[in-house]
Amino acid sequence: MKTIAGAHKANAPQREQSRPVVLIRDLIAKFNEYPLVVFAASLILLLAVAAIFAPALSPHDPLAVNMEESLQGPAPKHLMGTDQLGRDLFSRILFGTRISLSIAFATVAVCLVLGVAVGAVAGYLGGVADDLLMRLVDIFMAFPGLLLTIAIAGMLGPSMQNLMLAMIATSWVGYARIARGAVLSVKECAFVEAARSLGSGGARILIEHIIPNIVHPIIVLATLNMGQTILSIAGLSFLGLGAQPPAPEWGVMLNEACSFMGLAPHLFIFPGLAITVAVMAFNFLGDGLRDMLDPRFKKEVEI
Amino acid sequence: MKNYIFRRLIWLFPVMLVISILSFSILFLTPGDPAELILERKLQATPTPEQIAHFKSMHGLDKPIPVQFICWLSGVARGDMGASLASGEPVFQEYMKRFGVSLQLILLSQVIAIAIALPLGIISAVRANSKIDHACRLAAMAGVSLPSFWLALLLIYFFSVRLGWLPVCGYGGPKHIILPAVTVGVSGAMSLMRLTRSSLLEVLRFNYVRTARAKGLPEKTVVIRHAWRNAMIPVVTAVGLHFGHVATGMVIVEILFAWPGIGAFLVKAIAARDFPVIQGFVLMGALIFVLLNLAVDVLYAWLDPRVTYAAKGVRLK
Amino acid sequence: MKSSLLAVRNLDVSFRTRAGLVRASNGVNLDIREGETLALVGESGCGKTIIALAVMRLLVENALITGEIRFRGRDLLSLDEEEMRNIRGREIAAIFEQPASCLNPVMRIGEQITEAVMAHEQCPKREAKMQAKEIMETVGIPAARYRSYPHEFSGGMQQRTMIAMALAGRPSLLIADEPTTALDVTVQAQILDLLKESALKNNTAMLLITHDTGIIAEMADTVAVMYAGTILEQGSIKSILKNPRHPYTTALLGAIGEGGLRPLPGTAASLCAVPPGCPFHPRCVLAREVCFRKVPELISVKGRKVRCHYAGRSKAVV
Repeated sequence: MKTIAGAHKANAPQREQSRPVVLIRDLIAKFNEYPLVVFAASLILLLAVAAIFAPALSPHDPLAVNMEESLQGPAPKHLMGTDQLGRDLFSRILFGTRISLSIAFATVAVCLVLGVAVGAVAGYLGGVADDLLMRLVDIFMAFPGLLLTIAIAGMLGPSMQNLMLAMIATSWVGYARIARGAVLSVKECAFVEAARSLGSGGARILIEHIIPNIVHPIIVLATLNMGQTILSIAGLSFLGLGAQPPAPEWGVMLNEACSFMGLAPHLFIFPGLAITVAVMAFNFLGDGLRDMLDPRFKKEVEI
Repeated sequence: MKNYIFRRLIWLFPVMLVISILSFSILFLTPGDPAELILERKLQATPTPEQIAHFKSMHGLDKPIPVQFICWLSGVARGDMGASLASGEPVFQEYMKRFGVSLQLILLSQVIAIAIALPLGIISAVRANSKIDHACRLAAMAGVSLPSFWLALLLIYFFSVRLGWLPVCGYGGPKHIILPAVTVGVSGAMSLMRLTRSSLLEVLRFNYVRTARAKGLPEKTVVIRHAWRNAMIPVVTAVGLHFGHVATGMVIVEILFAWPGIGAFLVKAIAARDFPVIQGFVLMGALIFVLLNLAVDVLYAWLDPRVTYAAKGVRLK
Repeated sequence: MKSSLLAVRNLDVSFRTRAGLVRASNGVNLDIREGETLALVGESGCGKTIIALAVMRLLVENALITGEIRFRGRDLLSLDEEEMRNIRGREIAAIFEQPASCLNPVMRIGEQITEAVMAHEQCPKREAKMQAKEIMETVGIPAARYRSYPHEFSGGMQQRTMIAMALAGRPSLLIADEPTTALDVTVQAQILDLLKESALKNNTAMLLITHDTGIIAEMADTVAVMYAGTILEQGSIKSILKNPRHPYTTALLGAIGEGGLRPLPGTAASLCAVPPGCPFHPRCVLAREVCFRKVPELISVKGRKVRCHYAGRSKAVV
């Protein structure tokens, strides 16, 4: 199949423009082509605002028990209704946003740092260290993630910290793999040899040359990982292995809502919706970023 | 090919060994003494040191850990994975009892997933960028983000609580399997649909599809006999691998619907520190997973004549 | 006087892209008579393949096609998809370059040929299979290789398979788009001989698309020289080879000549950035001001048509 590379006006005079201006213009142009990315990013921004300013935005105290107002449906006073203990659902959902986003963010951040460090070092050292790492990665990837997370969390005892530990333990390998791959591909490059002969130290090479190579896939992985982590947090808390009541965590709320399904369906609908929206936002963003940053995606016409 | 299969089977042993060591060592993370916990549950009271000591010697829990491991391993080699600390039943029996139950759910859910994903994915690809396509892609994206346990609750709410057509949970006749199977199936269908779409879309751009059209073949033949025959290869292997992951992702669904499968039992065993069960189940699970991977690889070679498995890994012609 | 088989008139093909309208072919006129071979020559990227795909109506949806493509008097552009499908493979068949990518990798080559037979003849599979094996022998593939897969064949054998599939419908016009470009030099000659033989035997007309001017002398009756989507010179092979009138044709033919290789200066114009006026003017030694401003008309000179402001004057010497 033949392709015609991006069309441009012939004989158009090129004006000199400073680099940062050109880069920003290109970035904005790219963003315009991907409305989904913009939408997802704004949604996440909204969630972040909700999380950070939860205390200010909540009309009620999420933990305040008020038995007289229990199990009420959505009303002006309680936008999303109340639960079996009279607690305002909307406030609890806002605080739940804070819990989910912060825990997920912390987990992904640790995974990223740990994974990239281990992967890069293993790739750089090569030999036995590298082989060992790859076998470890294979085994971790062979183990279905959820089961391992449940196993670890179950073993350690139900708490949010243990849940985080379990999730970090299962997710770090993905980053290690990417980092190792990037290191290996760069290691053989001629310009690394040149840099080394000029006296650049190992660490400097690692940082200067590896980082640009892995930014794209790592960003995509981290974004998608955020979605998965939020889902895992909710799922395991639902099973009782993560957050514990009375914490206003979405999974816990779903668990508590089970008993009141017939009486108060809003109790399980809203937390579930919150989880879906949050995860969807990150998934859209991750997918969109993957397409957007793909270097192969030039303006091409296929004939 | 036979050599390849043989080599992969040989690799089974070291891999299983490592996995069993790993699962064994997870148990050391546990705070608390398993014997004490189990006795406490059985007796409904704090056990005395003598009772604990007696329990330990009865189950060989007082020996040093490496010795325990070797004992267990030799037992496994003979086909004996010990007995559950909680129920006293042989571990292998417990596993097989529940294996069939989980398998039913897996099979039905994958059938549902394929029935939804394949037609939608194919239509989506053939009519790329049309309204149907955008709708399907949006639905797939939403479906992938949907927590499966929330979907389960929604289904239960509508079909059990409101309409009363189906039972809420439990294991029994055909009515009991519908909701859990739909839950797992729909969740799986979403990612499968995206894979189907992207695979077919890619193949439709290939030159041999153009050749088929140039031969004057009807479009349906072009899409199915030429494009789909190639596009389905990665999809089929994904479904195969999906089986393995479904087995574990079903834990939440099994617990929710009180479906007496492997996942639910394992979680209970984890909470109860029932070591023999945990070790045995993890081993069995890993074994099945590895065999499944091998089967998928063989299937892939059968579907794609260009792939040959030579002495070292895969060689693509 | 042989009757006209294919008559292309004023063919304009454009593509709607994100960057605007890209014109891939510009007022192209072609004539092929029964049993004749027309060679369409030009450098890579000049739009030759697009003409082939336009005739077969195999272009993508965002293509705008205007003009006429008359096959036996019927305008192919006015047919609906069903009618066009009856013509594809049966009346007009095509083979493309890089045969390896043009064959279904999971289907045995014998079956692919049988499929081509069955697409155009109502006969039971057994009979179609026998016909397929006969065709295989005709093009030089041993019938014993019926059950082979495409990746087990060499490039030459793969192209023979394509030819077999193309001939299965006994077409009156065969479009061969760079049939030998991806093949070894030794195999090239074999394939070209095969094409010529089949064309003669079955009285099949051929549209041979190539950038290799070395092969057209033996294969073609008429030739059309294309550049940046425009036909610059066209006529009988004898008159053009002996006496090229367009500077581009002269340069193309002279690129491999006595004194070794004399490549043309500059690079071929991209279809996205066609120069104004005569498209060849940036690389033409004879270019003057009028060449920048005005697109030359196609005029008849000495038994062929030329599009050059110098046409009609003395022989273009480069």
